[in-house]
This record gives sequence, C-alpha cells and structure tokens, in this order.
Amino acid sequence: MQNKLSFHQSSVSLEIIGLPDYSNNENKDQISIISQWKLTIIDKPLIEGKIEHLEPIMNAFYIYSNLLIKNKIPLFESKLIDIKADNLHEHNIVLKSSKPNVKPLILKIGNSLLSDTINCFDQLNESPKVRIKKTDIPNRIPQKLKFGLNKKVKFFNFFFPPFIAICSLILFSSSFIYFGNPIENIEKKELIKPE
Amino acid sequence: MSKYLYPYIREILKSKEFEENSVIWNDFNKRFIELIKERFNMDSMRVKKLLNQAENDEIIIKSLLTLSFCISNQGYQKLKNFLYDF
Repeated sequence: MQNKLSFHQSSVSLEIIGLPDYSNNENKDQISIISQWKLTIIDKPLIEGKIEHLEPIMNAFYIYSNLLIKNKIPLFESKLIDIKADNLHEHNIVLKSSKPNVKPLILKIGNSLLSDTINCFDQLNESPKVRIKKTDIPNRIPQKLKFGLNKKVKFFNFFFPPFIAICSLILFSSSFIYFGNPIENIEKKELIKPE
Repeated sequence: MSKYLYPYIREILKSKEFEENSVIWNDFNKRFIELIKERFNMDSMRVKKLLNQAENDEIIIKSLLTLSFCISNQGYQKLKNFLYDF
C-alpha cells in the first residue's frame, strides 16, 4: 500500500505518492521512494510526473522566483520546463513532455498562483515525512552578497594597516610637543645676544 | 509574520491580475503611499519614485511577492537572503 501526502496552499495542492524505505528502518507513514506526484492548480490542467521530473520543476520555480525578485531577466529555460514573465502579473509556463509526439503544455499563471506553488514546494521541502533531495536555492547566500562580503573584507584589510600606521605616527609625533624646539631656542638666544 | 498576512497579500496580488483599477489594489496603494509619506524622507528622489502611483506598481508587486515567498518555517532566512540581494 502506497502512502499519500498532500500539501495545500490556497488554490494549489501538491500530492506526493510513494513508499517508505523499510531497509532504512523508516516509519510506515514516511515517503522516501516517490513513485508519483501531482500538482493541482485550480482552473488549470493537472501536472503530474515521476520523481526525476519533480526536482527540476521545483528548481525551475525557485530559480525563476529568485530572478523575478532580484530584478534580473525573469526567464528560465531547460529541457523539461520554460518559465518566462509575460508582464508584471502573468507568468508563462511551458512544460515539455519527455514522451515523444506529446505537445508541450502551456500554462499562464498569475503572481498569486506562483506564490501558492512556491509555498507548496516549501511545505514539501520542510516536511519531515518526505525525504527528497532538498532544494536549497532560496536558502543559499546570493552570489552578489558573497561578492559583497569578500569586497568588504578586502576593503577592511586594505585600509586597516595604513590607518593604524597613521594613528600611531600621530600619537608618537604628538609626544614631541613636550620637548623644546632646538632651532627656536637658538633663534631666541641669537635675539637675546645682540642686547 | 507574512504567514498570517498571506491571505491578504495574495488577495492584493490577485486583484491586480484581473482588473487594472481594482478597489483592493487602489486601497493598498493609497495606504502604502500614506505610510511612506509618514516615515520616509520626502526629499529623496527614490522616495518620490515610490510615491508616484504610475511608477510604483513594480516595487509594490515585488515587495508583496517577496513576502509571499517567505511564509514557510524557513521564511526568515529566505527573506534575509532576498533583502541582502535587493
């Protein structure tokens, strides 16, 4: 008997069907071997597939959502799925079937359905009952930030030693204030002598 | 917190998808501008851009989408990463 788990978010639901890995002493209600998954979006055709399709589709949605927010060109293309933005409110998804002579499925979803879908995938990623290769794209520190941190570190290393050197020089030289200037003393003596 | 606000965020996003002059969207936009006027430096060019109703659609949609993508348990981390890269 196969286990079935559903994740719902408003107009989208994701169903995962599979078996526990008994060789790994897993519970009866766990799913580690996914045999089928179904993504239901209200008013849209049903999307279903095998485990090898789920990960690329999840990755595609995560990468696309990141591109969308980071002001980059919102376009994702792969062998299995293409996602591009038609405008600010509409996203065009082309799902290409792995079977020959099957026309690609074209879906148009709005921002609300896109966020529902992402949230369903988040629920799946966070579920302790399903063991899949976790998609860690949204949790990864963005490349730009990594660059920024490196730059900050380099900037710090570049300016800190000369700054310390200048400070110590000022401190050291300020101690000379307490000593008399020999040139001034000689001049004073010269001024006094003619009298 | 966006987890609890998700139904509202979703409704605002959805309202703009179908109608150009949606009541929900216009109400939200009005309130957004009021809050910006209250709390931001009005002399800044960037803030002026935010207040322009003809140009601020994109920034509002992106802000709402960012919040709506971060309602999971790891949402805080996701939001942090999105904001670092904004």
